[in-house]
Amino acid sequence: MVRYTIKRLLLTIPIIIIVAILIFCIMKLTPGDPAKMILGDSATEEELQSYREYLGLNRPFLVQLGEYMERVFLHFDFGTSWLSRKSIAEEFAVRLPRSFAISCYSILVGALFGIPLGVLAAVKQNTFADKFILFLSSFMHVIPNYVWALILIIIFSVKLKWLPSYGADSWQCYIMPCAAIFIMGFTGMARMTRSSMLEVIRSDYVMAARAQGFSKRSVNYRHALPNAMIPVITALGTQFSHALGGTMILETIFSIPGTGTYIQGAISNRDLPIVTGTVIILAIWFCLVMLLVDLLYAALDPRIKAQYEARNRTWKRKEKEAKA
Amino acid sequence: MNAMNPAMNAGSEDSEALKKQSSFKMMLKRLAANKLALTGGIIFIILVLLAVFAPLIAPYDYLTVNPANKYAGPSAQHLLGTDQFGRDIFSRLVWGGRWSLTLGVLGTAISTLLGIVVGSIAGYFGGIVDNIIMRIIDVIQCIPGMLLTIMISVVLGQTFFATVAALSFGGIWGTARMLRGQILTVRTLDYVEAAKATNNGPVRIIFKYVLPNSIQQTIIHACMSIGGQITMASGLSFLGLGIQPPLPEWGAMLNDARPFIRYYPLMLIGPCVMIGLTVLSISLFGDGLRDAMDPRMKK
Repeated sequence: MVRYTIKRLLLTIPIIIIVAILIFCIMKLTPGDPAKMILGDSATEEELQSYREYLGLNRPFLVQLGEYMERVFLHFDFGTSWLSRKSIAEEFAVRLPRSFAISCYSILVGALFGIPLGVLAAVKQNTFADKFILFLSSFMHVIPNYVWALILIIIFSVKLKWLPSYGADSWQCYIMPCAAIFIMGFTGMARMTRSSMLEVIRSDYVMAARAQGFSKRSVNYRHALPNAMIPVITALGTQFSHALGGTMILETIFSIPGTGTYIQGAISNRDLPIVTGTVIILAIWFCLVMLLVDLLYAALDPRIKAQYEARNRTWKRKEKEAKA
Repeated sequence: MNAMNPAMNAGSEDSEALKKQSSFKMMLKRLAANKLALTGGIIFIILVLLAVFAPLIAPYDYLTVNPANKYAGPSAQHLLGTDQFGRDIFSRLVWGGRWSLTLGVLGTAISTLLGIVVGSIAGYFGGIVDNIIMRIIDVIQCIPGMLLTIMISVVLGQTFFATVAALSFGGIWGTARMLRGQILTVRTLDYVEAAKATNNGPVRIIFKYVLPNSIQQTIIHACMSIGGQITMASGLSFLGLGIQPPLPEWGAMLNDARPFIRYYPLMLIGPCVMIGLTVLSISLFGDGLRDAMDPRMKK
């Protein structure tokens, strides 16, 4: 397992570097002159020229790319924003907890409600409870979260005036953004758990457990549930992996100064260092979460662990053969 | 895969009747028996018809402003009231379907077609080709989808076709990865070997033998992702990218109406309901299609 983890960690390095190059190229292709965006229309041609010089925009493309890559990957320096001149790493660190809190709370609470509901629906298949859960998830899960967010604002802050509709100053501000993600998340979770659980309940080893005379409860929760969790964990992992960049629209709606609004603002201002830097961080986060998901698989499912170990054995054998 | 072959499905059903029906007809029959899927399909068709016949249905033009009649409530003249420029909201919603629905359908169609091309090349040829394509997909999937779409939309500009291109680009990779997985299981089967042995070219083998037996999931996925693409398209215009006001794309209408949420929430409810109804109908139909295409997956 350790060997596998190290190999995966090393494999993420080229992926991150290619992501960085890709984003750098895309941002270079965006129309509009950054110097003009920053200095405004009133700037003279000389001012623009000297500012371009200052940002290093007149040098050849490959030199710019090379210098950027060197700074980021050898000195771990993401640079400063062109527009605000603030350090990107610091600004990101300030904004990160807000986005992270919204995603984490809503995903965790979603799983806390969704997984038991899904199990309930599967165990009591075709009863009223099952049909009700399916009905709820059929419309709650598909309607986009920004639509839910607007509906929540209309109900709770315009009509009832209970919750603030924007800002990030108090904990009340986080309720509605979390709820908007939660509504979509928990129903999706319930749906996925249900179908995965049903699949497992019909498998041979569950049948075997039943034939051995285990109680229904024991079969459902000890034999079936852990195996049914594999696709659910994948889904959770995907949700977490997009936790930092995926809440862009919600953050815009609720005017939350999080990472999503940071990137989105930078994209529309052509603030290249911010976009490239934050996307690199997001990609690293994505790779780490996905690695964690794979390791969790192995912890949960002995079959997958056995596969890794078998692969390890073949590696060792090959090494021995190579030495001999 | 096996569902394509009626003989495999014989099982408990009357095999005599099966011989007369193609698998496609059987699928349609199962689909028609599913009331939820049927409802979804009918709602979607109504939405499409509304958009197609917008000039006949909408009582007003979607651009005509009427400063004398701003923020009017629902009335006989204006079914859903008017917006901040006195434009009829109902008419704008009806017209808006043209942009939202075409964006969703076109985005899905193009991304699915390109996904099929990429996925079948990777899956069928395997080896180094597969490896390179999959690593590219790994890299692209590291970037959150919405973010990538936003960036491409900024690069290409805010025209209709640029938005379609941005939406399609995001959808290619998931499709390609899924189809590749399906093809990997099919391509070692005997009939593909036989086709190779009888001197068929790779293009012919892919289209005639490999794709028909592996594309089923891709079709279901495509059908489901129309909803996702509409969500994405509206999200883009909601952020001020994509389709620009005064065109009545539903997301752009939401963005237009957002400043007035405190005083006049009715302006937001219309587009919210239309987006919700569209994705809901597509999802219901897609669920039904999945169950009908592959009865083994029906729970």
